[in-house]
Amino acid sequence: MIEHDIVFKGTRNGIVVTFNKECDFESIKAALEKRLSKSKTFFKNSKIFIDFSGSNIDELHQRYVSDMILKDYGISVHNVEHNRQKAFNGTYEGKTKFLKDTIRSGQSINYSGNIVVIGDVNAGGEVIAGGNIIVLGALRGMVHAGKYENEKAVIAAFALQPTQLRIASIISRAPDGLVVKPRYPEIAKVKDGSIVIEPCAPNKLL
Amino acid sequence: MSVAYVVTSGKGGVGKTTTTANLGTALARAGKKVAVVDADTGLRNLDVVMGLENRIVYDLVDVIGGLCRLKQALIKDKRFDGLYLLPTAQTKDKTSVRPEQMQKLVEDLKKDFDIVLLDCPAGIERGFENAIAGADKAIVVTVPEVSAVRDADRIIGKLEAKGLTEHQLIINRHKVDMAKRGDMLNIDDMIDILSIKLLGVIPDDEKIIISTNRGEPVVTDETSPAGRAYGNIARRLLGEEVPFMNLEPNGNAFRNFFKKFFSIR
Repeated sequence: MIEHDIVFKGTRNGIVVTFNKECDFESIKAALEKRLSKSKTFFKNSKIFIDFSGSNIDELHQRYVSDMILKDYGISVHNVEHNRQKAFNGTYEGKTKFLKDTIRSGQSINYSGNIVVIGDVNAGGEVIAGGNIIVLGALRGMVHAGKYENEKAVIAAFALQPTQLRIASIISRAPDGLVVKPRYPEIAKVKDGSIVIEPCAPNKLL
Repeated sequence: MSVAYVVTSGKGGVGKTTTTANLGTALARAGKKVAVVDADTGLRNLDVVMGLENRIVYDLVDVIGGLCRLKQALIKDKRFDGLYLLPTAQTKDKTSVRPEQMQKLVEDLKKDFDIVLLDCPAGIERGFENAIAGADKAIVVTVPEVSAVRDADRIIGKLEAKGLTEHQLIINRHKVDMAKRGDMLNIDDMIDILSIKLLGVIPDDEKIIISTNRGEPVVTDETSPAGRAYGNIARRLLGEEVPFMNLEPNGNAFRNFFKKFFSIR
């Protein structure tokens, strides 16, 4: 299983490392260590490119991997610069990741485009997107839309009851007091510098 | 075909050890050959709950270290035919065991036993990794408290990430009155959050404390509601369809009927 998670390809620019985007940080780290330790002398003092785009690994962990590889194997890691615009063209269009499972506590999903979760996002779980976040279920965890400072991003859910909502750099939480379960789908967007929540279909309400 | 279940929860103190001891006992009484394994190295409790602690000579860490054979470490419970305990060490800790070693141990146990129950420690670190290493299915135990449900959710996520997708839930220490008043999470809310099949509900029962202190699993006590609930769960594990117990205290069933009839709130 580890063998197929990671592929070293020789290109005109040097060696590019791509990996299975479904994998989490721990599996990628293990696969890289296994592969690099096999050919330590071959790679030493060389330069490799790692393609992190579209994966679940956030910037902090990307830097951790790059630093670890430099320290342990003497290889300098460069990020393959994927044009961010390819993944995300504002909040009306763009690449979207579809997750057909419930996001459980402790799980973190990170993507540069939009994210659609067909299931719940449980408390303690995180969804972080460069674009919009749509949850076809109960949103009980933490979500961050428009992470590249895009205040036009929106968050919508069947039952919007998150621990925290973030759009771009604005953070918002539910009002103190008893949490009332919402009875209809709602959408959160930025208006005049703060996050407001509106019903998705206002005309349907009596 | 032998099956290995891991009894896990994430949160500590919700009843994993009690559940392992009682289910093991009930399954043995139903005629199965059962091995209950304590995977909480360093903080062993399964031996105490089963009343077998003064019979421990060798333990799981000795077996893995090659100091003794598996059969030498297994303790036969003389009260119940077919029930064996594999205790763990109290003077070592969880770094003494590796997941691959546990996996081999469970495979060896499955050769001689119909059912293996692994009592998982609290947490998500090495102890947890060790306990799930050889398991085929999981039993997740929780109590109706927000923090416990949060941890159970985390654990289910970790189980699924490891490929253990056959899991069921036991809700322990359920208090009917509190749930009805809305002071306690009710069963439907918990299933809604956890999205997991319900194996059974154990009512809060003082007799659990008494039985633990005596080292006699409560499932042997006919008068204990918790004991009867554990018995039902064992039967469900063996494939029988057992309806969920009505946990209303005696007399309320009649009053509730009247309430419904006259629409009294």
